[in-house]
Amino acid sequence: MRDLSVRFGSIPVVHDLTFALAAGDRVGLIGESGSGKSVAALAVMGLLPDGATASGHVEAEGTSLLDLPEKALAALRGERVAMVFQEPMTALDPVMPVGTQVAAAVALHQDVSRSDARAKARELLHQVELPDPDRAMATYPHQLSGGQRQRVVLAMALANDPAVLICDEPTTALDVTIQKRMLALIDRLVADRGTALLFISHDLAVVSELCARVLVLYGGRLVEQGPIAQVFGAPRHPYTAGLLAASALSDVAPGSPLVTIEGSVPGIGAFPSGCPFRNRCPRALPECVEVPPMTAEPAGASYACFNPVPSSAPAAAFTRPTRRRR
Amino acid sequence: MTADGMAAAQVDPLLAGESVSGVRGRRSGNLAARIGGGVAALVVLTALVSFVWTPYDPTGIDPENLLAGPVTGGHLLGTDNFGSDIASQLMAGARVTLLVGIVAVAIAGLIGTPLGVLAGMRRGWVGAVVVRAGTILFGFPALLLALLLAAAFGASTGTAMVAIGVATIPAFLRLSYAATLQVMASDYITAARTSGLSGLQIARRHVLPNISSVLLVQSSVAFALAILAEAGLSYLGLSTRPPTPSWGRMLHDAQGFLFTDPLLSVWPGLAIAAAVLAFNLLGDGLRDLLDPKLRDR
Amino acid sequence: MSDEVVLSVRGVTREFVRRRPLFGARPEPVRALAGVDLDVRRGERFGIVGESGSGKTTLARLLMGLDSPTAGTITLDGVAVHDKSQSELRFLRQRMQMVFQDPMSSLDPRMRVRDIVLEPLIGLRLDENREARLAELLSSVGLSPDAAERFPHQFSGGQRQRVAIARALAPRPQVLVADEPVSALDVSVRAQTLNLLTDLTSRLGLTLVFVSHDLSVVRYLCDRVAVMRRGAIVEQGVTAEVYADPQHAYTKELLASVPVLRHRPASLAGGRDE
Repeated sequence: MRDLSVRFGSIPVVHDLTFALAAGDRVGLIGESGSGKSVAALAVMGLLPDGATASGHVEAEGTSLLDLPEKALAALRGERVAMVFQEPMTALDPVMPVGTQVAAAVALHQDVSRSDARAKARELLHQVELPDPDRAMATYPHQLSGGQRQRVVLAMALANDPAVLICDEPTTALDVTIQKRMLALIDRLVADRGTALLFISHDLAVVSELCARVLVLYGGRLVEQGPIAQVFGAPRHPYTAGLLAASALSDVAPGSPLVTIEGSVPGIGAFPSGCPFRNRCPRALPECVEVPPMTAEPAGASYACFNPVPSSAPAAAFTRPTRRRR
Repeated sequence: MTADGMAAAQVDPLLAGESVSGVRGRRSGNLAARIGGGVAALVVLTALVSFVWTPYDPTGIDPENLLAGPVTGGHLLGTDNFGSDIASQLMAGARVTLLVGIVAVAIAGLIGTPLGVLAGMRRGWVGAVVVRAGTILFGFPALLLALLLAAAFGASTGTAMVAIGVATIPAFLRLSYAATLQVMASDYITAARTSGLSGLQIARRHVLPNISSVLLVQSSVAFALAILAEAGLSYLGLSTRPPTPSWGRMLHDAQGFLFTDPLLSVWPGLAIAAAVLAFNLLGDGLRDLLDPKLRDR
Repeated sequence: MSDEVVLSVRGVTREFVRRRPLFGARPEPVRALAGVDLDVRRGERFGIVGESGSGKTTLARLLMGLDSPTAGTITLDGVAVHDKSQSELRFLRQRMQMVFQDPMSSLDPRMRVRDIVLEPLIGLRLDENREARLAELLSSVGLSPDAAERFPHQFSGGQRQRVAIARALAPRPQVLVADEPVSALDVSVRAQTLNLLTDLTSRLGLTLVFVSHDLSVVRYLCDRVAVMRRGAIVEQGVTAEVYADPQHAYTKELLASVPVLRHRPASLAGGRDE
């Protein structure tokens, strides 16, 4: 992906997003609401809603995706690039047994007989650890629990061994015990097949357990990226540092004030010009009205900030609890 | 610090796409509302003006110009077989049309809505009974009611209005029931309960304002249907009696001259069609206009 | 924090009867809660943790008197909160208020903030200077006075939760029941809201019942915790103890499932325990 920009009508949602995913990569895309993370993923899949325009360059295995006509895109979807969403009920047809749906996913892209497709479907249901796959083939989505439904969706996504699997908050709607199993499953399946994984989430802990690299988005811009150990261990961008501080509840003594980021996430289109974080950033400088360029760091990391958090000092940017000012 | 003033701050980018098409829907809804509203306003204006002025007396006779064609002998749209001016009749007929619409919708709304809200707020047998009763009434066509009332009291605009109004009650009942159910599922209703508000207070403060937009759209559509129903009843002689002009009766009277003076039926027919279309469009437009705003959190 | 028990739950069971359509066998009741016992002490922050289907939301509603238990008793300061008339309920409502999970659904989109926040005063017929109280409430939750004239959709989720909290505080309650109040908020906003809750409860001497599925939040915020599963409490006690040394298998599983934030920075503000 290079300089991908997406606009909804006249409102920019994603700005100049650039990153690359290699086979076997596990990349986490972190952002809160309004960060543009889901939109970026949809742009890759060509699933942007009407009224949204994407510009820039998106390439999957050498094929440019943005200008592809719908038919060609449809052929790619599910076959080279597959996606799992947050809400499984919207991805599953409620009036079709799940076995049929998975088989359909197989048959769509592979030239196989009906019985072969069903056999493959059964195999997939087994791989996603659904108990009693034979019986599961005939069940309908509403008869399954949320976690089980997500497994079915995962089976459909992996049915054709895609090169890239995009997961958009797949476990956010699940209970934490189910989530743990689901993440382990994704981990195993992706490792077995060598699929590249793009895992979108707002949950830093989940991403840190599953991914090797991370991209941090804010206001539609990439603010920091790199190997997780580095980005989380020594964040350079103030937003990353603030997010980490706000997420690491287990490190805070109970009862003492939490470190917070001032203000709240602006609505779509309400982000300030230049660096989108500057109206909330304790380290903002006058030059932040210009979009900061990406500064490279060792180990392939980079961040976009004119006044980054010192790599030596602790998350000094956010050591004071928020002053309530509204 | 600059977070407020912008709607949908916590909106998932996916939802933002929704609101964009909502904006487009709003624009097309705007058009429908404007066209519909424009024509509807025209009808209202015509009716109002007809109280003060019509080209000729709608019930008057011009014996020299019987069944005249348009723009003949000073009559813009011609005259009917009695020599009464068509244009004047149309204008005055608008009065009946609007009156019936208003009263019928008022009856339906003022009876159907409270019942529907009551049913929606009180789960248990009260709700079930009311809804069942509404469903039964739903099956009752306005025509039958009108016939019954006409037989009892003699046909008139009044019986038609009541018949149509009563026949429309179920539509309002069901709509307000469904809308109330949706509202009741919201947390702010629970919060109102924990704030100690009584059922009546909740209905007044929370339910009614939140279902009002749906009701408005429904009223518009019901208005259109009432006009159509009245025209039908007039045509059958179950509504406005002569000499009061009525579009439906004009149609009926024009029947006999269908092959000799077809225009006689065209004018009232057009008027009816235009009015019905206008209010339908208005309803559609309003729906599109109001929906995104509600969704626009 | 005293030892005085303000909220007491004894043997509470709540069954829902599902109506089988037309023909069919007798409907089997769904047991949302089965024999729940707990005590909440005055001034403490009590957490109720559970996943979906644990019954925690049902329990929260029962505590608030929004629903009646099929069996058992719930008392606030010794007075039962269920099977009460409207006027008796009003007395209880003044003392116990609720904050809901969804900031969009808990505020009437057609009402201005001022009307939303002052609603409890109207419903509970509390006589006081409304304007002054409104100003006081808005400032205590960190909202500017001009927020009063605005509508909910003009605010962000975090700000809406502040409005909801202000509303809950309007009748000067003693107990606040919060049902997943931060779950729908962004991470960065969550911290602000938690700080607000901590601050308010200690300043106003409130007792807080915090229902959540988020273990780390409960650990941070609550003095004592009850872990629920399928309608029953499997373990309860002092938060630090329960988290450090869980006794029940489910509690252990739950704690083990929480994703750990790896590679975090060496030191963060607020100090560390352990």
